[in-house]
Amino acid sequence: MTQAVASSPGDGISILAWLRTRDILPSVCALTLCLCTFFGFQEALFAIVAQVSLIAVLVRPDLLTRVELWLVIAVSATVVLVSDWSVFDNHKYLLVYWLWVVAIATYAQSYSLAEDVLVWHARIFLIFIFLIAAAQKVLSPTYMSGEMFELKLLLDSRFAAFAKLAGIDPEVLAKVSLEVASLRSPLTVFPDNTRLISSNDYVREVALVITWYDLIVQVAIGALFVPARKWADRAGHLLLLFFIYTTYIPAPVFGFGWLLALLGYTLSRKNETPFIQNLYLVSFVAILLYQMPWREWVVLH
Amino acid sequence: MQPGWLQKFVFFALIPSIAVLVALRQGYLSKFDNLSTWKGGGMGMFASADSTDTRFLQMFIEDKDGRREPIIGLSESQTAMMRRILWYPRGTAIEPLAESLRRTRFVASNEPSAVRSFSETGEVLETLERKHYLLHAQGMRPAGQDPDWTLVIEFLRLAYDPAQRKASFERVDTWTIPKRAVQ
Repeated sequence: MTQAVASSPGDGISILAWLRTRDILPSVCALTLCLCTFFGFQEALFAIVAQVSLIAVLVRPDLLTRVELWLVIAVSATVVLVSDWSVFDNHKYLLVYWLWVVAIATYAQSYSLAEDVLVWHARIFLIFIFLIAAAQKVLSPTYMSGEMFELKLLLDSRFAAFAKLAGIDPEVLAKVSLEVASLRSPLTVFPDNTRLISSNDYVREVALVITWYDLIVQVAIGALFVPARKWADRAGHLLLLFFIYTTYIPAPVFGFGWLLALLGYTLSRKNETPFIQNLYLVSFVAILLYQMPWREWVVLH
Repeated sequence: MQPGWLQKFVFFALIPSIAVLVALRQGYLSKFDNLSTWKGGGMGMFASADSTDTRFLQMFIEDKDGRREPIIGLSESQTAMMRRILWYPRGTAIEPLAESLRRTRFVASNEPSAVRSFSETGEVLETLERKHYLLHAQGMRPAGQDPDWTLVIEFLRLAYDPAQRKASFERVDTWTIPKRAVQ
């Protein structure tokens, strides 16, 4: 049976060493509680539950692996999600699934199955996330044509900094925004409601490079975790780490990045080297640092 | 202690089964009912050019003669409602916004603005006879005064042909809310 946390990460031991030397369950619970607090639902019910849970665990560390705590967190997340299901991003659903997995794992301690439950679901979700996402992309005409990323680069303000770093002239983005705005204006009439926009070959090339990179890397990560062989898992972890470290610089979806790192870390705890595990632990910090307002700085300078 | 079959199912299969069912539902709704691929529990983030960059609601007040005046300025709460609706536009989602708009007092400039026609490349071709008053929300009507106009809300989606660099708006759905249709 997995033991509850008996000591804090203090006493001169580094956080990294503390997390690695603990059983899987307490370290995964600690990282999941951080995920809830930093990047969970912003709705009051969940935010209060997550924050109070964090304080409770700091006061009584043995609560960290108690099934009651995780049931409360999982139920509050489910209530928030179900109450407004059509406006939550897909990765918020994954968060809710993972909270239930942690709750089940804490219950499965009495069967000595907590580690098996966590590792199994980490693998299943990594395969599910990447292969289903890849399948949806392959089936989407607007993805395969490059239209999706071209429109993201041209119209999504969250990508403006990345577009600028990729060498796309900000004037092009400003022009296209105006052109699209003119097309939707009630004071304009265009033939067949259609107009040319000022995108160019370079924007299209950048969009196509991102399109194919994203698809290939997602297929590869999902497929590498399917056989559950050591060499494939090693390659899958390295590719997943590369994906996490690079994707969440331009894409400000930090909660999803943290969750992917958590799934990878959980799976790596089974039989991976400390080096791989440490890379995941550092990636949690990297994702926090990626929140710095560098995008605004790049756009303004 | 050994788990029974039900416990094994809960330990290892329950959550993935729910995830698959939710993803299938999301796939169905995004294919047939305008739910964005970004929402609802699938894995279609960055899979489709179908987010709030490419979805718009156009709102009009329509008088008894069928003349439409566009609503272009919403209150903060109405803007928030509109953003939510865009992810999954449907009748029940429209209702709160429609109710709020019917209770809103609108203002416009004294003179109507002319409508102009453009070529596909964006050159002005001519100024049309048609003119519009551009309406801005400004406060609420006193209770009990249901206005004598029809509210029209159109859901439009931006389509883009990367080969020809042509953008266009397609009207996907229209909701017409006459007087006293919403309470």
